[in-house]
Amino acid sequence: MDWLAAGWLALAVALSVPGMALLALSQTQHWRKVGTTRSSPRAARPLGWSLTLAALAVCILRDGMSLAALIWPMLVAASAVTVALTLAFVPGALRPLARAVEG
Amino acid sequence: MRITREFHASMTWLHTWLGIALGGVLFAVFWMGTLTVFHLEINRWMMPETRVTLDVDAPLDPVVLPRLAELELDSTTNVSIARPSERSPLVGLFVFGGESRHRLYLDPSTGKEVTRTKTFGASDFFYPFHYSLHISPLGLGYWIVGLAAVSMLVLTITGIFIHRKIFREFFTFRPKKMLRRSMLDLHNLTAVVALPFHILFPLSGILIFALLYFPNAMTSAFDGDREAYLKAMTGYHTPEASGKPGPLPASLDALVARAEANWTERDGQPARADYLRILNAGDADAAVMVQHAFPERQVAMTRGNMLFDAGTGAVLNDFTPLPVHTTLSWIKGAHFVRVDSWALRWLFFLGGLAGSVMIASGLLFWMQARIRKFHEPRGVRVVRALTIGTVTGMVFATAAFMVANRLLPLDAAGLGLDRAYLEVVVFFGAWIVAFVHAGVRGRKAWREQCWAIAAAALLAPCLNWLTTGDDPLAAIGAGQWAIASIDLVLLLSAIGAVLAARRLDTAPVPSREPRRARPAVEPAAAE
Repeated sequence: MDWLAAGWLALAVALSVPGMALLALSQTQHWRKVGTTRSSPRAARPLGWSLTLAALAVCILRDGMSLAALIWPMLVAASAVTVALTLAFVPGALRPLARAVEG
Repeated sequence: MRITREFHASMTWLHTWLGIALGGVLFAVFWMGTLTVFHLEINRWMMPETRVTLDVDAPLDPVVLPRLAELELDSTTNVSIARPSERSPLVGLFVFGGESRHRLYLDPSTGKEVTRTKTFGASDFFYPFHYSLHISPLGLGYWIVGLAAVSMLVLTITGIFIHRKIFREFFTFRPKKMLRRSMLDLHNLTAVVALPFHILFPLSGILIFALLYFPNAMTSAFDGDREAYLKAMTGYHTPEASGKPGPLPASLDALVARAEANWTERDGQPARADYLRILNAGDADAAVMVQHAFPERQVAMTRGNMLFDAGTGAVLNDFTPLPVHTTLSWIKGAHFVRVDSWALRWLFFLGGLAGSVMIASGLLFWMQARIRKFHEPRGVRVVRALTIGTVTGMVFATAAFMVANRLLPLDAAGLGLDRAYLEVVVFFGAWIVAFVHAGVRGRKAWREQCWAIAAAALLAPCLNWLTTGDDPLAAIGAGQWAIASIDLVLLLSAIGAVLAARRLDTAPVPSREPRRARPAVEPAAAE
């Protein structure tokens, strides 16, 4: 078991899922489900993009450009679906993230 | 460019009718393709004798050469040798042409023949189903799949034009709304988030068979000379046989070592030869081709091959693909995903599942948009039966295929067919039953077939544990992660099927006709 590769992948997931979550929360219809303010903080969207692009950097460090070009878009897709399902079924799970961005 | 209402309507029309016409074929291609990602692992599940971890780097000579010495080889016999790998632990020895024809699988450490369960497995059933639908006459299957791939690209582009709120609804999924709305949400979600995937795969699929669809590229560039084309583009070349008998090569391992050293130096990373071919095996001018088909750390495939004279070991040809070939190989390699990345394989597996859900939810949405409370046109009923049979029916048939693999005795035969074909009979039999069931049960067939899938998907791993003793803990203990993963995915599929069945059970029936259909309904209601 290649622990280093597993670690990089875990880090990429840990960056892209919250990244996608923040991009979702930057949209008012999703923010209203978990946030206390009327509209989402201005920081949500740039922060979401930063985390998502950081995940790309991690993918490139892990596997090089050729494989990262295939892995990263799929990772983003999987993260987006995860966030969509979370918002649909257990939106409360995103409340801590919403609090963190408000503050 | 402004998207006018007329343009939007025509995009919708094209998307709808292309989706209905080819949705069934597309689902089959996507579903079988998803399974094919792990075809080597599914093979291990279906042939328990191959659930072994062997020394894949053991020398080939003590295993292969004694076998070949026993056989009658002449100037036209070719021998194909598949070196074992982690995912495919046995040495494959295939002899064809000339007098003999053999297919042997050998333990790489002992050289003993391993008798595998007679099954087509995933590699010879799911995989060819994916690219040719098993329709061989005139190569029609390849053409139908090619047409579906082109349509998929058109569907993706028209879909982008239709879906006005592509960014606003990027994360939107409303499962508790009416089935029509939640199906459309699901269709949009699975389509948009994996958009690069949905473009890459049909495109790369078409490129893989490009010369089948456009043979003129070869014909015009090489004046129809297939031999010259093959030699220039792939390095494949069968030298002239002398007609005189000759001995087998002294050492295949020596040739493999020389080829690997050559490629390692060329690429700057370790290279491992995957396939060998002994051409004109019994001849004095026999040649050995060593291939580097599936590099471990590169997406691109077919990175080169070397041809050696079997007797003297002289290098007859040293083929390295040209840069343009490398680009094409990268695109094709993205589709085949033979690169050694479990992360990529699992992500593409999920992508394929997303694509299958996309197609199924699109078809379900279209059906729901046409439900009439009082009057259901016969056309809709026929299309619904065909749709259900193609979608849930095919998934059920797949589960039934795997159940049959565990239930059929090793020496099963009947109807003049051997065990492998009997499993295929079960697949198509279950599929036909699904179509009939859908025709008879109408709307209820969706959830009933989901329950059937759940039952079969639960039965398969249970039968695996009963017949082989490889329950997930035992499998992991023996290092057989593939087997444990397949059983786990089957169990998760059963749970998913139950959730889908329950969702379809409680789907609120629309109390009013869908707005677009109202004018058509009024005259019927007035009767």
